Amino acid sequence: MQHNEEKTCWNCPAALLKGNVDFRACGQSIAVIQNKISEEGLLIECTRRPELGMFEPSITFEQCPEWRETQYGYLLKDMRVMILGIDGYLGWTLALKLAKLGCRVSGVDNYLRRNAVAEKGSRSVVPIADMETRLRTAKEQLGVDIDFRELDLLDRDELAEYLREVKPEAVVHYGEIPSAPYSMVDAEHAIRTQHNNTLGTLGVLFLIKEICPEANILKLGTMGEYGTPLTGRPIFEGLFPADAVLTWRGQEWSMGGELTPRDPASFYHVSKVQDTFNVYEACKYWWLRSYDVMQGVIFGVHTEEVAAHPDLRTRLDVDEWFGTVINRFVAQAVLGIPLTVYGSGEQIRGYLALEDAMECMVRLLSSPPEPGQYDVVNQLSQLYKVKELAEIVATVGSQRHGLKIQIQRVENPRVEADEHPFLVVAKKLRENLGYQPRTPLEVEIDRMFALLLQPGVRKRLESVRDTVFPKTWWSGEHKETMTLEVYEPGTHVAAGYSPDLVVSDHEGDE
Amino acid sequence: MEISDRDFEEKVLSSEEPVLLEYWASWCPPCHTIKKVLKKLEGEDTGCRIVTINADRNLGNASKYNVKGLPCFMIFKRGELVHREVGAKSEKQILAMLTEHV
Repeated sequence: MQHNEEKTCWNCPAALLKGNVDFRACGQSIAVIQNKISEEGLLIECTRRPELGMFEPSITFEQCPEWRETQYGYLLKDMRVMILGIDGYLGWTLALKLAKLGCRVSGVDNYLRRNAVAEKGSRSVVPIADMETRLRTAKEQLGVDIDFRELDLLDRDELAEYLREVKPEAVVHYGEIPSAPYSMVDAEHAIRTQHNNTLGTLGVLFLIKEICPEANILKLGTMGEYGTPLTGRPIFEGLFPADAVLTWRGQEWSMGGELTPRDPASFYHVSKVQDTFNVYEACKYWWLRSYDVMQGVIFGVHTEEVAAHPDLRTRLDVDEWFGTVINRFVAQAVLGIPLTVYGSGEQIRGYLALEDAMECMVRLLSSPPEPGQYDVVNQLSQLYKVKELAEIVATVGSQRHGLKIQIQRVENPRVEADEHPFLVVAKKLRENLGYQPRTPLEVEIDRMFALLLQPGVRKRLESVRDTVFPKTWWSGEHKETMTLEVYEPGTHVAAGYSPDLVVSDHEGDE
Repeated sequence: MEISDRDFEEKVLSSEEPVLLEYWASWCPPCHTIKKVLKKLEGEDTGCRIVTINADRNLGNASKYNVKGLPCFMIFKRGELVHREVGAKSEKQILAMLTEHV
């Protein structure tokens, strides 16, 4: 049984709602719609099957010939997917995967990421081709056509023109500055991050409303929006469940469906929280449909498609601004720099491999929310402590690649809890969308070592050595980060709180 | 059980047993969280029939019953509306509402 076989036209972006519908059925406008009520109920037209005329929306994905079965569930045939930020680490990787699955992929980018990494004095350590070469190679090696337009999301006229041309049935929004440290450098960087992310997203929402309101919007958020509450209360999937109850003065209220508290950890994370509210409201006001994807930290370099040819590789950043922790640890291990753990290293975060993240995105595309529905998923495969990750990287690097690896604790330049409980709920992708993590951490770390140890890549890595050590202080101070301690792997046991991941309602599975 | 205006008469008004009806909409996050609770209660002995109906897709009765906020819970006995409450509810609160009004 496929996870989405019982979904119907209500979930399909090809269904156009026609007549007899008013989104304001409840509330002050009820009087306004009295005269619009018809005996016929709500009808739709299908953009893909106009021969059906107007009909009641009840065809299931399993029954509809426009949805075909894949290993990830039913997928809309030749689905038109537009990826915002298609040149990035995730954007390019997803473009190839979707194109290979038969989607008609288009994308936009203004190369902000390439330029911001260059500003740091760094570059992708895995060599990446320019867009023209990427597109040509995708055609030659994978037999897929991807359409690309160079543009800035803040240029709404140009984006509108392209959206009208493509008429996407899904929009994946990766087009944001994804770095906490970058946003904490100074006022200019903080403002640039919030301006680009928040206003870019707001503009995108207005254009989707105007041009393709049926599109399934996959908006990338981050687990960092939630923070790490020291009470240890659960991190639900964006919204409280019905049985979460607020008790006050002896009375109880259900919190069901309300947005859970956010406690962002940098000005970048604040921009993502603002996005969350904008998307949430847009769904409510205009009947847009969206998944807000609270993504854990991605690591790795591998998918079948990017590994098919050197010119199809996706970028890998290891600098302190854009590198993510596991990627940076592997780079440090290859460079002979003791792995930099901030503070106590007891910080717990959610992680998933690049390959798994891409699978989750495909599954989300395969199961669009209903019109007006805003849904949130926590997208991660496992929780780890930073210190624990350093140990795992050290073990893989030394045992399989003969490297001598040390770990160093450095002053924590961030303002964050070094030690904290972390109870995370991540059920929806597993329970509703059929996702099961399939890339073990050690396997992906091993692949990364193999790639970074290739002579050409290693040489590039050497050239960005100076960008690896953390220098950006949340306090705004411009000072060196001091090393507190250098130690051998296996000599420090993890202490304090244990990560707690809830992936199922069923007892024993948690 | 999801119903529509078409079978409203049969499933709600003509029901022999009391009915707990919930109005919902796709754009209402609390409604989505409650679905799970109602589905669970459907399988239990609550002494009443539990049905859900989408407000936007069934404007006739939504209008007739003046539904102005979601989720909207209504309890019907022999075709008569005896109680209504608006807003998210935990399982415990729904059961308490049933105990009091059914």
